[in-house]
Amino acid sequence: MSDTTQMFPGDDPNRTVVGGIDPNKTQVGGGLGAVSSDADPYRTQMPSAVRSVALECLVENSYALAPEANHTHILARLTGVNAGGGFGQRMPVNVCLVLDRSGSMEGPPLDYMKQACGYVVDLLEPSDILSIVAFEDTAQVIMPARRVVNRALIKEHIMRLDVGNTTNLYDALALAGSQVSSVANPGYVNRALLFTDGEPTAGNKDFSSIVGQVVEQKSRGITFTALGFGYEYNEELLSAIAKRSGGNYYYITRPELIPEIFRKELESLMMVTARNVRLRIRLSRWSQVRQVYGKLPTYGTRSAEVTLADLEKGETQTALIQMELGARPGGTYRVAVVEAIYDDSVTGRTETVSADAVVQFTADAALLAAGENPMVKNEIQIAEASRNLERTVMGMKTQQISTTQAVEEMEKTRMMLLDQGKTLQAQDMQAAIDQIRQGAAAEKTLIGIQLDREKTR
Amino acid sequence: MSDDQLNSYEVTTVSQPLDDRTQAVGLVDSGATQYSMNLECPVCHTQNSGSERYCTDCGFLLTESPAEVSEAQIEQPPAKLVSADRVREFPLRLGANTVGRADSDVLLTDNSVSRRHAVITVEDGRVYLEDVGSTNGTNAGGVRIEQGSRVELQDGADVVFGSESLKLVVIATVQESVGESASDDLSATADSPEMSLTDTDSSVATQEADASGIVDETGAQTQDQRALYVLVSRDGSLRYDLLKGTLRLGRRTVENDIVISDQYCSGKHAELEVTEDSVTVRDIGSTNGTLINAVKIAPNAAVPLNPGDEVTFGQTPLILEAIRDEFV
Repeated sequence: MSDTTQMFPGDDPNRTVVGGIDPNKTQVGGGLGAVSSDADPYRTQMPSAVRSVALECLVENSYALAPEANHTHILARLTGVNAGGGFGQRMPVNVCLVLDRSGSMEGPPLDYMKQACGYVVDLLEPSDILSIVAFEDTAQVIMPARRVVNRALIKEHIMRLDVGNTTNLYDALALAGSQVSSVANPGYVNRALLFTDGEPTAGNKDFSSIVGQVVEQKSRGITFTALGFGYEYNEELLSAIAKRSGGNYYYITRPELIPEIFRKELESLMMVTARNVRLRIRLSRWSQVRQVYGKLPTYGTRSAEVTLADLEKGETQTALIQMELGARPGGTYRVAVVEAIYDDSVTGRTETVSADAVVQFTADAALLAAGENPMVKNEIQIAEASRNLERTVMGMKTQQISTTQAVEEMEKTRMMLLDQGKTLQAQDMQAAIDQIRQGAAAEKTLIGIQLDREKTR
Repeated sequence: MSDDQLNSYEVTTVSQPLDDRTQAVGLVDSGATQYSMNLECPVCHTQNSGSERYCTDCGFLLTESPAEVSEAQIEQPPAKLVSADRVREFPLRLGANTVGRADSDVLLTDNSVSRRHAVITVEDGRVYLEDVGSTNGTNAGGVRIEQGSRVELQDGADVVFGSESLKLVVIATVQESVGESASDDLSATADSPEMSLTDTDSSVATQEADASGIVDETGAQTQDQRALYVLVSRDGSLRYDLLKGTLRLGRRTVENDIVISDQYCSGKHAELEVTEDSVTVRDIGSTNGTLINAVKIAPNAAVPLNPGDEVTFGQTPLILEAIRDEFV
């Protein structure tokens, strides 16, 4: 939780949103309206169990005009809690390395990739499972899924890898999926690490078939992390693979950085505390979900559901939901209940935490200004900037916007990021701007920035 | 119509299910004690168990009193679009409503929908649709709309934007107040079963709407205005005409065709299916149950009701009588 506290300091007025608008009652959750030194305000709602996820639900404005119809946003924040267990305890992982050994990998890239794989083997423990798939014209299983016991032997297999010809990504993903799912025990964090330097050139090369396959495997609990190397790979495809399966996306410019990125990814994998995370918005009468930014919700009777990425300890993911609130008499209403449903690493069960979105409908328009939540406002701004960025990338690709226009747009986004203290993303944005000014293609950098990245650490 | 969809709710482990039902209480017959355990929502009149903080239906904070507003002041949208699976609704307001994938009044996030796809205009009690240059086109009633031309939509019309299928529902009660400038047209139609707003195909559109149950959903009239049966109390003080079709019965004044003001009757209590020669009753998960001739019926199952039978909703007994043609 220390990261969260840094980001949202103790005098943060937002914490009080849920409870603050209700003067008559003591909080259900206890800590909500209280001082935020209570690091985890939702613990008290679930007193009987220690859970790995804390959920917080913030409303864009705690007031809305009555008796009119309103649009508003609610922000769900999920934080991975280091609950239970001692330090160093983690869920066992079931990892598949999916390695590109097409002709273009020859030389330093292949050598560094092998070195990176060696790191992975060293980081894993005998309780973990590893499989290795390599692909060129076809995909082959280099090592079937098994416990990491004989490290030297596994490394030997890796060292024998040699380059081939083309890039058959589709078959490689299918094979990786079958290796990961060959392990019957559900207690593992499943992930495939896809490493590639090129476009798919063999087998099924269709974008939507490849992404469709990833989505299907995600439904079986397998997350893909995409590591793109060099300048040739298809960044749209790789970012889509990562995004649709809840994995990470990395852009690696130089071969010597490959081992470091593999290590980073594995460490993040070992921090996972909640898997198969879904967010369900249960709607009260007169409430509708208009959209969930960056997500495609599935809608049910008075509910909408989205899938989120695996949640790591100390990490916060957010989902920004736009709501339509129908006309009603003035008063305080719970307009929705937000639930996070996930497989808990501590209890070993599927758990649910929930939080209320409460809005006070009033005829007094003067109250509206007081009810605004700056944190939600910030998220809305980022969501909008992210959309603009997407449009900029698309416009640059189709050459519908000039370099000057693109730089202008990106400069605006960079300033906004700086304003919000997102210095890392602002730096990335600066790098992309510099690339464009020098006449280089900046799409890979831009797509890598992912402003709406639900994850913050 | 899909009763399953209306009445089934997911069971989860959450302690405060946000479902539509009145909370169940243990016993059926000990009225006064039960009532004290329940909290009636002052806004939507749903019965909530005493442990609920917010109304399980509308979310109202049960310890508060709502602001005094008459129902007329709460402005309902004059029309709405409803998704094919009926779980999503998109209100349409008076004037122009933009339809598109971004920054639109009717927001459809599907990729087949253009950012600026179409405009639906509600004016003078009529609804018009115009495609404003979409990539994948707009269909109304199965016919592709020419870009830039404006077509009029009937209540119940199927509209397809890209690959998103929606149905237009015109909300009857508002229709009267909407079309002041077109009062000559509307005075006749406002309450009639042919809710059509316009010209030639009105009967077709109405039949389609009835077949799909969409009109029932909004509480609008069924196609046959003539009462086939009647439910009456023994002392004759209560009398409810039964028109052909599906009728919703409950305590709540909105969304029910038959409103029974009995505290033991649930907000949404039962549904009656009325045809020329039969009446069936289905308890849709009421708190205190439905009895036929003093025998409690199982919830969510249609049970035939014969003329002369006594049916009790909550604590209101009513007798079913058939209306013969010769009496009409």
